[in-house]
Amino acid sequence: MFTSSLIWLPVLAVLVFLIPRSGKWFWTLGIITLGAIISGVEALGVLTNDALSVYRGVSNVLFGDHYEVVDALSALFLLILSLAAFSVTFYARGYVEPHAHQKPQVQVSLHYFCLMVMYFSMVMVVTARDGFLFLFAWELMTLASFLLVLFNGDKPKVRRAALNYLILMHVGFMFLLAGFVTLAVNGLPVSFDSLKLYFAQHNALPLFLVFLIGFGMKAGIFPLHIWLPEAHPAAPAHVSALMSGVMVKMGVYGIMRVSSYIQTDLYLVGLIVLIVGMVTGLWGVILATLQNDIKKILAYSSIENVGIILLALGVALLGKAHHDLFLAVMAYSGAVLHIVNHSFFKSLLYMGAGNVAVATHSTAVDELGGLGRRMPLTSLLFLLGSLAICAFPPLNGFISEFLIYGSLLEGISTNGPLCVEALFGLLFLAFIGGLVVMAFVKLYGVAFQGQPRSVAAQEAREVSPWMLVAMALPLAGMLLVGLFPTLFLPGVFEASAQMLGISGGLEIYSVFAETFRQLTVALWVLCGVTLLLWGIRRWALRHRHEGGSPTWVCGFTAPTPKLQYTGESFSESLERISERVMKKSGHEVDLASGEIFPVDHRFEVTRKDKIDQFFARWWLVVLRRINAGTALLRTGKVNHYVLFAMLFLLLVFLMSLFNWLK
Amino acid sequence: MVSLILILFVALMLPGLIARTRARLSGRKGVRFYQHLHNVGVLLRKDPIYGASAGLVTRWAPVVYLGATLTAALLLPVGGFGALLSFDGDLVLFCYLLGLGRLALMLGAMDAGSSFQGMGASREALYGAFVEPALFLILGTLALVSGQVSFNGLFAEELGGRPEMGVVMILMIYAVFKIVLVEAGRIPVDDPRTHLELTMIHEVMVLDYAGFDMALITLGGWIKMALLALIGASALATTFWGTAPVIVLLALLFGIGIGVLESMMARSRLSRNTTYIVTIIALAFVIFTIAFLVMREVSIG
Repeated sequence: MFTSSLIWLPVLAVLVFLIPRSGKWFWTLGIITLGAIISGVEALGVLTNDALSVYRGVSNVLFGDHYEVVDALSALFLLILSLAAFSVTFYARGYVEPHAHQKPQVQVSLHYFCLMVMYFSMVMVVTARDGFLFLFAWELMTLASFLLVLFNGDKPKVRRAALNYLILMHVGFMFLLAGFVTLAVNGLPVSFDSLKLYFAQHNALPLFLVFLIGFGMKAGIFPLHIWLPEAHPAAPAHVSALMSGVMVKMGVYGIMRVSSYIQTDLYLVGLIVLIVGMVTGLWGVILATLQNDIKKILAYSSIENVGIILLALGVALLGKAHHDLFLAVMAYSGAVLHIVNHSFFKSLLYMGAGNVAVATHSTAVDELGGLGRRMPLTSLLFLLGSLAICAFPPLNGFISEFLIYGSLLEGISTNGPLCVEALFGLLFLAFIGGLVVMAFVKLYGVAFQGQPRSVAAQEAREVSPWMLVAMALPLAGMLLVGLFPTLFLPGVFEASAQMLGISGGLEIYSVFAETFRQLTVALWVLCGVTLLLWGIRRWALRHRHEGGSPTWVCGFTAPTPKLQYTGESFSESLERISERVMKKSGHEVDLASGEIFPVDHRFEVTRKDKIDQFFARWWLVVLRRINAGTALLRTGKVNHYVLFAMLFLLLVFLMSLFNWLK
Repeated sequence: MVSLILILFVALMLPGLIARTRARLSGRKGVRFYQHLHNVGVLLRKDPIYGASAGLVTRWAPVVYLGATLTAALLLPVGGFGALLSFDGDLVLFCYLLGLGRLALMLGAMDAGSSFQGMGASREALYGAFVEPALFLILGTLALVSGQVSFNGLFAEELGGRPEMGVVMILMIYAVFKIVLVEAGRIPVDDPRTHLELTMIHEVMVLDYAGFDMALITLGGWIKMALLALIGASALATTFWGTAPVIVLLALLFGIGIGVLESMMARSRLSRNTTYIVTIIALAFVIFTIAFLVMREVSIG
C-alpha cells in the first residue's frame, strides 16, 4: 500500500493540470492528505511495532532491483514530513489563490503539481535505501523545489536566487553521485546498506567527507550555506516553510544515515561533525541577528538550527566512539527531537512571515511595527513560535535543547574522555542560545510591537482564516512536545538507539524516565506559577483605574513612529563586533548641500557574510575565462560544427584504441 | 520549602544591605534598612499606567518575569535544605528560566515603541548572550567537580574533597560576583540610579512601567540577584562547611560587596561593557581549566 501509493498518487497528481481552476487546490490537498495518511499509518506502524518494514522491488520499471526500508528514523521523518506538507498545503490556499487570477493557469497548476511532487520525492528520499533510487528522488526534490521557488519568477531577484540554488544543489548532487559510485567501483551494490561493508574495509573518512559535502549542501552547513539565505526569502512563504521545515533536514537525514554505518574512525568523524555544527550554528545566528528582513532572519536561523542538530549529532558520534552509550543516545535523541521541533516552529514562523507579507506586502522589519494590534492572532502565533525557537520552556524547543545540554553536561560531569569536547559544545550552544534570543527579540519587537512605521503596516488587517488554521497544526505539535514530552521521548530514544546500532533504546530511556517526569512537572509548575501570578495581578487590580500616558521620550512632545528603535539599530552593537566577516551593501544617503529640511530618502542595507564572495569570485573568474576560450569555437557555421563532431568521434575512437592496446 | 524561604529572605535583604553599605561608606546617614521593602509596598498599591502602544505583552511581561524567576528559585537548594524540584539537568532549566525572564522584560520594553526602551532591550540582549555561556561554564565546572548534574547533587557534599578546590571556588565566587553585577544591572556595567536614559540598560527597559507591574519587576530582579549570589555562596561554602547559615551569610556578603564596589568604582563606558562580560567568559574558562587539571591530578612544574 505504502510503496504503491508512491507511484499512483504522483500519477494522480498530474491530473491537477486538467482540473478547473477552482478545484486545483482541493485536488492538491486531497492527494497530499491521502499520501500523508498512508505515510502516517506506515510510520506509526513501524514506531509502535518496533520493526522495520522492508519493501523490495519498488519502481522496477525505472531502475531494476530496488528497495525501500522504513525504520524508526525514516518513520519519524515521514511523520514530520507529512504534517508539514499537510499544513503547508492548507496554507497555500490563502497564499496562492489571491495570486491565482494574475498568473497563467498552467503556472498555478505547475505550482501545485510541484508541491505534490516535492512531498512524494521527500517521502522517497527518507525511505529509499537503494543508491540510484535515492539519487533519483533527491534530484526530483531539488527540481520540484526549484520550480516552487520560481513561483514569483517575474522578479529578477527571484530568478537569480533560484538559479543559484539549482547550481549549488547540483554541485552537491555530484558529490553524492561520486559517493555512491565509489561503492560501485569497489564492487559493492549501490545502496546505503553496502556503506557498512565499505566502511568496514576502508578508511571511512574520505567517503564520509564526500557525503558530508553532498548532504551538507542541502542542509546548509557552514561554508556551503550561501544558497539558503537567498532562496528562502525568494520563495513564497509556504514553500519556504516546507523547504526550511523539512527539505533542509533531508541533508541532515543523509548525514545521519551515512554516519550510522561507520564503525571505525568514528572519533574523527564525530569531531568533524561537532566542529561543523558549532561553526554553522554560531555563524548562522550572528548573521540572523544582523538581518533586517523577517524571511532572511528565519533563513539564517535555519542554518543555525542545522548547526545545533549537527552539534548534537557530533556529540552522539563521539559518545559512540568512546562507548559512552547514555551520552550517545541522549545527544542523538536531542538531534532527532530538534529536527522534529524545528520542522514545527520553523514552518509556523515562515507561515507567519507569509501572513505579514500578505497583509503588508513587505517583510522588512523596519517598514513594519505595531502588527500586534492589527493582526493579533498572527502575532500570538508568531510570538509562540519565537519562544519555541529560542528554546524557552515550556515549549518544544526547550525539550530538545535540554537533551543536548544534558548530554554535554553528562560528558563533563563524568570527567570522561569527552570532557573537553563537551565543554566546547556547551560553550557554543550557550552562546548560540543567547544570540538567538537577540535575533528574535529584534524580529518580534520591531515588526510586531511598537507603532507602525509605514502606511502598509498601519493598514494591515488579519489574514484569511485558512492561513491561521494552517498555522495551528504546527502549534499543536509544539505544545504537545513541550508540555507532554514523555509521550514522544520513548519513540525518539528508540529511533536514536537504532541509528547508533545499540539495542534497547527503551531500557536507556527508562533510566532517564524519572528525570523527564520531573522535568515535565517543573514545566507545569512554571505555567502554574505564571498563571497564578497573573490571577493575583488581575485580582489586585480589579478595582483600580488603569491610567494611560504617552510613552516617555525625555519630555519631547511630538514623538513619531520614526523615533522608535529600528531593527538596524537593535543589532548595531553586535555588528560592531562582527563587522570584519560581514559584507555590508547598500548605498549611503548623502544630503544635498541645500537641503535644510531633509526630504524623503530611501536606502536599504543588506548584510551577508564574505563566504559567498569568496566562492563567487574565483568561480566566476574561472568560468568567464573558460567561456571566453570556448567562444572561439562558436563560429556559427554548420560545416565547423560537423568538423567538431567528427573530431570528437575520432577522439572516442582513439581512446578505445588506447584502451585496447593497454 | 525551607530553601525557598531562605532564598526569598536573601532576596529581600540584599537591596537593603547594598543601600546601607553605600550610605555608610559615603558617610551619609542613609535611608533605613527596610526602605526598599516600603517602596515596593507603595508600588503595589499604585495604579498601573500604560503607554499608547502598550498591549498584552506589556501586561504579561512582569508576570512572566517574576513567574520564571520564582520557578527558578524552586530549583535551587540552600545548604542541607534540598530544592523543591530536583532532577538531573535542572541546571539547564535554571539558566533557561533566567533567560525567559530576561526575554519577557525585553519584549515588554519593545512594546513601548520608543527608542529608549529599544536601546535597553538591545543592550540587554547582547549582554545576556554573553553572560549565558559564562553561567553555563560556571555550572559546568561545578558539574565536573561534583560529578553531578543537578543542583541538589552539585552542592550535596564536599566538592571534589580536595583542598585545591578551594582555590577554584574562590575564583569561581569572583566570577559569579561579576555575573551578579551584570545580571542585576549594578556598577560598573549599569547604574541603577543614573539619571540619563541614554546610558541606562536595565532601568531604561522598564522605564514605562509603573505601579503594580513595576513592583513585580523589582521583586523578580531581587530574586534573580539572590539566586545567583546563592550559587556563588554555595560553591564556596561546600568546599569547607556547607551549612545553610554559612551560605546565607556568604550570599548576604555579596550585598556588602556590591555596596563597597559601588562606592569605590564609577560605571564604565558602555562600549567597555562587552569586553567586561567577555572577560567573565574567559575567567570561567580559566576556572574550568584549573578544575579540570586538578581533577585529572595533573601537576605543573
